Amino acid sequence: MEIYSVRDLSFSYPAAKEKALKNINLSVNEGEFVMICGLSGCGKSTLLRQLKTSLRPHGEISGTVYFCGKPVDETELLEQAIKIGFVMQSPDHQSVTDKVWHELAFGLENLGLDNKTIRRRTAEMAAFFGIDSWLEKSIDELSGGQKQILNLASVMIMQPSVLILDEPISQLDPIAANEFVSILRHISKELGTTVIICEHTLDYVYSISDRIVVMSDGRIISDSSPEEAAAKLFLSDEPMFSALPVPTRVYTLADHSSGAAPLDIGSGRKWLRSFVRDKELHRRNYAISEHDKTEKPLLEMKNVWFRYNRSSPDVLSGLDLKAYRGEMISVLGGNGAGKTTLLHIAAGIYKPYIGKTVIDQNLKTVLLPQNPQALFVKDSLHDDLYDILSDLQAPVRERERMIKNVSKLCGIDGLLDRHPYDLSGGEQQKAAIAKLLLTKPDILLLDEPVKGLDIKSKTEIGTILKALAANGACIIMVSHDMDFCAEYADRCALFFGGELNGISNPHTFFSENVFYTTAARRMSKDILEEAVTADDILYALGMSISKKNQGGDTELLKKIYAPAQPDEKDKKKDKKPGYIFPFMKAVSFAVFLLSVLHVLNILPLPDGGEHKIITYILMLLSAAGIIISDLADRKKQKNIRIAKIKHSHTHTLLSLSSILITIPITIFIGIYFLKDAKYLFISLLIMLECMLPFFAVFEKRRIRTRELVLIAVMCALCVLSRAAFYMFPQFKPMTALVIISGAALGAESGFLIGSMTMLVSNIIFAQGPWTPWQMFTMGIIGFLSGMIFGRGIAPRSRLSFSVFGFLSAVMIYGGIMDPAAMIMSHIEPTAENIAAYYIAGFPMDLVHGISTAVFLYIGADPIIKKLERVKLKYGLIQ
Amino acid sequence: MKNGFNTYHPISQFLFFASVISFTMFIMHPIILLISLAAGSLYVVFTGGISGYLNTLRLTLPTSLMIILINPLVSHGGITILSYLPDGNPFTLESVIFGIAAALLMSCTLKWFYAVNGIFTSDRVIYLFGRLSPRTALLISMILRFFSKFKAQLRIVRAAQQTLVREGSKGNMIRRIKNGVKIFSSMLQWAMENSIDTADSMNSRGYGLHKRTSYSVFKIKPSDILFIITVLAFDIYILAAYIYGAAEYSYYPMFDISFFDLYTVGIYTAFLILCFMPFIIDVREAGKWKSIRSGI
Repeated sequence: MEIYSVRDLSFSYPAAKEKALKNINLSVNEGEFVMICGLSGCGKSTLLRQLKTSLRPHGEISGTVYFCGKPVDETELLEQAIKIGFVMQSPDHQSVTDKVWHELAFGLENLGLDNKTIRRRTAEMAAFFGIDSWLEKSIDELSGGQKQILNLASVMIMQPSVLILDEPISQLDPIAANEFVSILRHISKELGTTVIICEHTLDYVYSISDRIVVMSDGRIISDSSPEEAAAKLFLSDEPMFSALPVPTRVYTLADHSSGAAPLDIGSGRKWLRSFVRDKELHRRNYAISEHDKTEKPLLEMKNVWFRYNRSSPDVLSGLDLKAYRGEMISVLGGNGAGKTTLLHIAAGIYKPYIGKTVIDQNLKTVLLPQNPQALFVKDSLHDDLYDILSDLQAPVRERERMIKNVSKLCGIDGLLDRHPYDLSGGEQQKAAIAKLLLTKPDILLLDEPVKGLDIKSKTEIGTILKALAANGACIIMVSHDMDFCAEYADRCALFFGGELNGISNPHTFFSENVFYTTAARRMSKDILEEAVTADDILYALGMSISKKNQGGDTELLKKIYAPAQPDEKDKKKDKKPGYIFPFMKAVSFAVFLLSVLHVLNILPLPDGGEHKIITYILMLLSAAGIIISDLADRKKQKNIRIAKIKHSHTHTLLSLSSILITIPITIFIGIYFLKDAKYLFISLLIMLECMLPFFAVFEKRRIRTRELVLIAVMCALCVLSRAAFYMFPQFKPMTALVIISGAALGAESGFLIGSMTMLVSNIIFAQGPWTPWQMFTMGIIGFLSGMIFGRGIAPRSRLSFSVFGFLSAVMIYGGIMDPAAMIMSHIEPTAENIAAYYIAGFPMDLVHGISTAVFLYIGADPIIKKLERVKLKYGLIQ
Repeated sequence: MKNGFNTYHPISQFLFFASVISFTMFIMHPIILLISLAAGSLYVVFTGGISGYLNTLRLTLPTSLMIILINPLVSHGGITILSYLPDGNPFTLESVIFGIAAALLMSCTLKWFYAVNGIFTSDRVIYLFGRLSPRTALLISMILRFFSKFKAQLRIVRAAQQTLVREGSKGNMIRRIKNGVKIFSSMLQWAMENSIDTADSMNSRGYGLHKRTSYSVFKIKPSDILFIITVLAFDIYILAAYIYGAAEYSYYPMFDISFFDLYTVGIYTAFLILCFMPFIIDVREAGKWKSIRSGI
């Protein structure tokens, strides 16, 4: 039976010049295992996403996709959710909930199944996947490979008839990838599930596929059995040819006449043995240039011992390493062994407890993290690169020249206007390297620089790195990609037991290893000597090799590393701003500050308990003065742009009015029936009544999944900023972030984010009687921010944000939380009592207020910009 | 222990803690407070050891001291005047005693909340919310997942940005804040851009197409039902006696000295048994388990 039939499908993204899919015709039968491959950007992911309606990107589409004989967009969404399983690339981002069992149950909960059925199905699934021992775990305790298996299991639990996988193993290490693929094979063979998988690393999946579909430039260029695909790729001179598994590739280049092409190492060895039987082998002298021992190493690690905690095991134990100018060292080894830690120690991020890292003071060391996205901070690639140069003493033109050179070298010069997150994986990696190069590094520490990249990007990055080393840099790279290391590294080492073992040139290293070595070596062991790459085998067989490793623009590199040219003419001069309103602002600030100091009794002004009230009024007036002078000064200040989220219904008025009705009633009941004695009870009741409408509305309203996810993300970020992020004690950006969320996502979401932040962070810290108070207070702050900034009541300038931040921290948060401590201990809330508690808490409130204001002043603009971009990308705004 | 109080159903546990904590907080009666403090402290030591107890002490002492100090300074009720304050207001014994009682109340609730935090793991909180609002429960679960993911990413971004910072510009305070904002905004961008995958994965698995159910791994066992009935019975008794006025205690204008009469002793006993119920369960289960294990 035909599961999928794609007829004349074309697709183009909005505002794209070229179509992403061009006239695709494809049919997939039941039980087939189909692999779609191609370089990144060839349209394979776009094609997969056309197969399920809920995942289709926006854009113009023509042609039809039939699922089980019916156009897929006419198939019920619920039926699609069950029958079409979809697994994505990232192990981390697909899981929704925090616990393994909950993640498994998530899809079934969506179907509205009862507890009993879900229990049985999760038990069954856990047994099939052999994951029953993790069920109780948190997802963040799992390794990347385990996470991806969980993602697969939570899709399989829906009992789909077809399983679609979009590069599921590209982020996994070789062992995890093998395990994942063997489970996939099991599913295909034992359950008869149809599998459609796309990948650009062919090694794992190629041999178990029934069919290989090769795409290039939005077209299908080949659709045949794995054996035939190799020959076709060879003949059409496709770059994908060099991504084929080594046995297949070597066979196709050397023989392609005797029988079917070998797809795995076993059959490859059989073929190679018979092929070389009567042939004379070419021998190459692998002359190795050992490093001159007298040369001083650029980086030296001497007997380094490291552990993360006093009680945890050693990650590094007596590690020694000497790295010299002009060489590229590869560190290979098992997952989670501590290779990344090694780089962090070399970069000086952690200090070893015994031993030391010796690097010359004048040398610049940089670190490329596993995910290059960790380096990006700005909204366009150009600004992001420029950011590195921001504190450099060089004129603008010189900086632009540097950016131009670096981006040309890395092949990203056409992408400078793009947002870093809109780039492909390979482009992001190159952009990250470009960013590092702007600091003119002498030592580059690279963590998995080619992970998940296609063969083209790998070659490009290999070439850049080679050129860098040739220019005198020292590169230490951690990688799982043995073929890449064999081809580009000068020395390789195996990380094991906290040490580096067998450090030597790639030929010696990989030919001495038997298991942990390249595919070419495993294929040619005992047949050819010292062949560790496919090229080595081909050389031995007498084939000429045209490919060159060396390359890169050395001239350009020299320019990049040249010292900056001072250019006198180019000095930028600031325009003179009008000074009346800034002056007013400054005066208001000063008055504000003085009144704050007076309230704190730091300033010995004419005393008087009652006079404090005047000071308070002065404080408020000066705050207003700041806002007004800022308003007038707005010509110069840009307003931060915020677009309104489209809601199906707005319930703000409803929740507001219900609050306005219930609170007076509660107070009335409190006064007349409880004789006003139980403040605690009444205040708790009021808070509950305030919060309930918001939660009720949240529960009932139709909400798009993306909005829900965005709310969860903002909450989690706020929790994080409370729990793990502070620059100084008590200097946390949480309140600022709640205010920003309210402004960008609307008043209701603002309330929800504020109150959920407090609830969830108390799950992490500690719940206490203060939880409802904090939830209420933060909720109100988020709500007000949504009302004031979201609806444009106040100007959305940096200053008005920070003034609002200060006031809401000092007056709302402090004003409610300080007296709350009193009410919680049953102390009568008289004016005097309230004042006493408020003043006692005031210094803390002040720090809170200042930190919120400072954070908003610096952060409101960039953070809201990022939020706005995501809102647009998510389709939350018109 | 296989069936200790910490394995009971979240509803049983919630009912217990809600009862004990609200009685402690609303009936601000010295004897009730003392019972609650004794049981709460015992529970903290029982679950968290001495170090756990010291932890709660570290949290409560400053607040308690503040309450004890502030109260007599601002509250001047009571008839037993000990002396006069500089501002001419009386300094009374009653307000001192009330301050002590308020501080006691504070430390009682914190002790119980320590126990709550030990027992109410995130999935129990999520379960309880799931009864009221399934969407909020899902939201909590998602926030917790995102939180641990973001925390790991924050570490990565920090490490990555650290080597990019130019030497010599590290110490400056404004620069440090700016750098902090930069790290955070990189983190934020990563979080938001990648969460689109999460939304897609939810949609792909049918989120929002049908009325959702909330799956839970918790089952109500007969012991839970027995427990709930017992707690409710005590609750009703104590509540009835409280409304009748049996646990009325006045600190002002003069604190009562008569603590014991027929009604109040009834309330004390009921509250005492209620507070110690988890211990009774745990001790009995420990004994049972010991005898079962010796038979293996």
